[in-house]
Amino acid sequence: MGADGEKDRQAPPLKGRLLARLAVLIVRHAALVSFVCCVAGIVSLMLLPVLAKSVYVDENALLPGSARATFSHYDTLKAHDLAREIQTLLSSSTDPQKDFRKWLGDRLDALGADYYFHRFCPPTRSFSILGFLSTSHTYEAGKHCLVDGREQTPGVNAVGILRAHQGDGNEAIVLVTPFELENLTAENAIAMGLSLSLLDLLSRALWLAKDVVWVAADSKYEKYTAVAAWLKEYHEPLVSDSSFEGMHYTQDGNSSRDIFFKRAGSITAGFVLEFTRGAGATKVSSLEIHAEGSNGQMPNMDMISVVNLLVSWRQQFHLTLEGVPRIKDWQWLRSVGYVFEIVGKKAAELRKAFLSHAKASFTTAEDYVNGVSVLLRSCWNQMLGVPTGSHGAFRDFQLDAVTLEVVSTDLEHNMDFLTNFGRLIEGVLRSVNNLLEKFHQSLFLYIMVSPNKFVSISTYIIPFGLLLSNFPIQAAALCTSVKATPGSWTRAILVVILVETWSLGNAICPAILFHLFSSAPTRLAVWILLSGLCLAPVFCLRSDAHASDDWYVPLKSLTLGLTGIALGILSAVNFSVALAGALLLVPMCLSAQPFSSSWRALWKPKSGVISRVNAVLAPALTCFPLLVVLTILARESAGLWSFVELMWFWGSALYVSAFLVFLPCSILCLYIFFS
Amino acid sequence: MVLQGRRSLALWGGMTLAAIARLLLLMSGASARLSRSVEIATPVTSLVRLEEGFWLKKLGLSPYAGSVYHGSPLLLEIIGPLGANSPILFLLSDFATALLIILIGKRLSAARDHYTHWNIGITHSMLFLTGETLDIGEIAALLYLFNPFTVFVCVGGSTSSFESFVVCLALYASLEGNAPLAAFAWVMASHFAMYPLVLLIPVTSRTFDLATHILCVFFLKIASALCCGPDKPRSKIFRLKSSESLKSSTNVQWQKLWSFILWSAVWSSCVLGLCNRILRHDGGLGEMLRETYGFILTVKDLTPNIGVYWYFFTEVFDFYRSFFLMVFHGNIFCMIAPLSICFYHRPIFLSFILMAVVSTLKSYPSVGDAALYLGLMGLFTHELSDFKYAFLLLNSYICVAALGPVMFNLWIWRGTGNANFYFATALAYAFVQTILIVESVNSMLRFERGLKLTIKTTLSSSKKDN
Repeated sequence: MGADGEKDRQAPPLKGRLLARLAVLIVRHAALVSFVCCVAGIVSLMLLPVLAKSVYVDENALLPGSARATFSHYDTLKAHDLAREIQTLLSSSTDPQKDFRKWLGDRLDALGADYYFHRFCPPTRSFSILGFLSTSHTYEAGKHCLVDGREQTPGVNAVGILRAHQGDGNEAIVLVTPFELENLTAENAIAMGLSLSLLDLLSRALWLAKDVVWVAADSKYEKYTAVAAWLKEYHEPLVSDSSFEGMHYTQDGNSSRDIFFKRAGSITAGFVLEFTRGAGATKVSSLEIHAEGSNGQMPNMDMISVVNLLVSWRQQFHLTLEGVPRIKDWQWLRSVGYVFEIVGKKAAELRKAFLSHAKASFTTAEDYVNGVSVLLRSCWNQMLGVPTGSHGAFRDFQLDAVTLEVVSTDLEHNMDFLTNFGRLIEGVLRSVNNLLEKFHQSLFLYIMVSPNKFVSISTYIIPFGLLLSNFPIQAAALCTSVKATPGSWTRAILVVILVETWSLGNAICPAILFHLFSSAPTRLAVWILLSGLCLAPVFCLRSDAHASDDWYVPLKSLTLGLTGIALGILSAVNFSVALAGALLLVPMCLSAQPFSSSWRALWKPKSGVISRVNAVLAPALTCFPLLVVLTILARESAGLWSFVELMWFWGSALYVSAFLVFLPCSILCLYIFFS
Repeated sequence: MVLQGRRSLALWGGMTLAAIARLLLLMSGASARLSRSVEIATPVTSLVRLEEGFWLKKLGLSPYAGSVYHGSPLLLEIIGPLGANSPILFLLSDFATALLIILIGKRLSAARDHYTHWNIGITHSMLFLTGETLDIGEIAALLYLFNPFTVFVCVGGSTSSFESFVVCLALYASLEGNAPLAAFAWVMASHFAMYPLVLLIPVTSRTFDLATHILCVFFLKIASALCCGPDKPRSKIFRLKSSESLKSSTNVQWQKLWSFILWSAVWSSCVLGLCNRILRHDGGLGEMLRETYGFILTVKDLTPNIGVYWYFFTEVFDFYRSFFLMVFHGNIFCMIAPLSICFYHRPIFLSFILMAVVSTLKSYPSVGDAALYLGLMGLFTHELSDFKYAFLLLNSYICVAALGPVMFNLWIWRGTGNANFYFATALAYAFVQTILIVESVNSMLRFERGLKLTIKTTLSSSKKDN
């Protein structure tokens, strides 16, 4: 009792209910709490590859590997024959387009498949000056396409539909094989041959319950465009005069039957098969999975786990995910990995000692570095928001798809590999064929660490949450610590609104400048000039409110609040962008203070350690983004405009967040710093 | 003069900016995108549905065929022929609402001056520098015009802005004591959206003081004299002062009551007659009532929105449906009596609170309702000067407003979220609004208590001096 009384006398007593007391306690020690949160956030971020879970098949109906694959060497031989046939056809023909189409049509007809040719044009990358919010991509094809102001022939997808023996025609699985007729590589020819040979096998399969749609995607204008155009026509048929015109316009010699668009029920899943020549002289063939769609959307994790399960069960492949190769040379990362390995070993021993049934597994340093490399690559892809392949087009229609890319140097002589790949595809198709209903209730929000490990949202949200929690804590601490003067809130709100409006204008500006000027450097220059001129008045907006030392407190707390909200919401849209934003903005926002007050804090004898450190770091952290932007402008000004255009075209979350979150936040911090 | 110049510059400059923002948004093609958003266009207020109803009517069918249109036939006749030009009408109605708010603010500040000359210390609002540059009405009008909710609703093709205008007209007319206009606007507002029915007491309390009189006499037996006028402290506070000037205004104006009732009857019969004439070939008044009021009350359309009804009524057993309908709607009507008793002397504040309650608990809410009450809230910058959690609420409104569309997108378009994600946002919105209501009522009560205390102390000190 006595001790309690003494304690009460030392600090002002905390009143109110427990929750309120806790809140007051946190707010009082805000600096310490946010320091701990930051450190814990960074550490748990580093731990992500260690905390990754093993992939599992969530949907019971998939039953991967429950039947024996029938794809044999005979089918592989057939694939080789077909590939050779294509190559000889193309080399001898005078009109390869027409001959190839006829050949493909005959082949598909022989399999008993419905087939047709789908014509499309790449979308024009233009925005109307007004109405830029309501434009959407169209792939409508006339006789010619206008690409960069020149007339070109439209792309033509060949589509074959195998009607299932057992099915009711309500569901379909899509196989996509991109090809480029103008410069058909040997790998591409084999991919076509293998797909046709697979279709041949499937046409005889009795177990097939879903229709199989094979799309030979003409990747004349990018692989994505071809698949996106076909999917858009599949789901949103455009009924207009021109589409009827397109029906009459037939390929010479082909009947109009080949042009008529046919469908096969709702699409369950899509697989894109790609064969590429591996770089270097390595003879090892490997299979790479690509899954990131537009804006970092991932397909249902079962798509990856089924492939992974079949591969690891048969032990025939080297399954990989794209990584950042340079990271593997980083020594410090390796040593961090060693630390985690040692700690993990000890933890595993302890677990074994207490729980005899527990599996003693730990992450080795090698696994850790590989995990970090794959994780960073995946995050980078998600952050850019540009799909990593044509599977991204499926995700725009809520369909799940992955790209299976075979990387090999010597496919012609690697029969076993091809046969195994064919078996794998057959097995995966058979699994998906077993599905009774739409993929659901599985993971969509995850990041892959290795082909058999993933980090789900429940894990990766922890470091992000720790970083994000700084914003409300600091905002509350600021709000309660200083009694604001009457005008300061009005002014703060005004400044914030002005800066936000300015950023919004900045975000829309490229779409308008696109029309007014033709060359990229002019556009960029006008853009920077305009935004600079518009921003100048805001920085001139100073008044007598500066009289008090704490005038910036409302402004800072508003900035913190808005940034926190924006990042939180962003994490639901595109986690990687939000995480990058948090890493960038947390130190900047927290350390933001006027130069004069940090100067004073540095020399005042009474100021504490944290405020001194803050005073030293604040200028560096606040000016950091400005310096980065300036260096990029100086070095990469040519590429910058095309990058902006790319981001706008894909509707990337990075674009939106860069202009509506990062930019206003850093400008506000600079405003606080310089005034 | 300089002050006057800055003031008018701020006001007119602000209005021009607001108009420019709306026009820019209209030209940028945002309306096509916004009109699809469930936060902006409800089944009752959607302009797309109105156009559909207009076409049905033109084809000789009932506008209510196929459960597409659920608004008033009068709106069909007014807005329908405008077609694509109708946003201009909403733009004009937004500015008319802002003007009405300015006028209401003028009346309120006149009334406030009336009681502040006793040197009652009123703390200045933390948020706004009132009294220096802008009148409260002007602040409220600018807040209303610049509120993103108002802008989006105006651009996004929803009749909400029109409804807000009629509601504000009713409040203004009742402050002016203009019985025919007040009755007209009240009848129209109730006809368009049903919920303004609850504004009967605030609307009449100024014009006649009767509803409050009845409430006081019969329910509370407070036989205190009623004073009329716009928002002002409780009459009891004035009686402490026993001011001569107030006694004159404490009589109940029976004559005006009768004229209000009469005019209400006249206007409602006019409106109903007109509707009947419009719908004479297809269903008449019965179908109209079924499809408008009935549609609102029975919650037939369970399209997700920012309200709390849809999630519950998709789940509830049919057996209990009518019971829970009564419970849900009863919530609103339960609030009327206690709030009216508490704030009968502040009709505009009472209508602000009632509109907020309605917006929280109505069956098809949109952000347009929030736009109206947030605009009216600006009128009380003095009274709500010690409003707690202002920063928190500001952030929560921003958060919920941004989170709603994102969650909807995750659920409907991306397929990675589900209904629970979106309903969580709707719940958060309801929660935020509830805090706003509770905290507004609390601050107003605190303000009145402080006022009472100040007057008491000044009185006692003056007595001592004597």
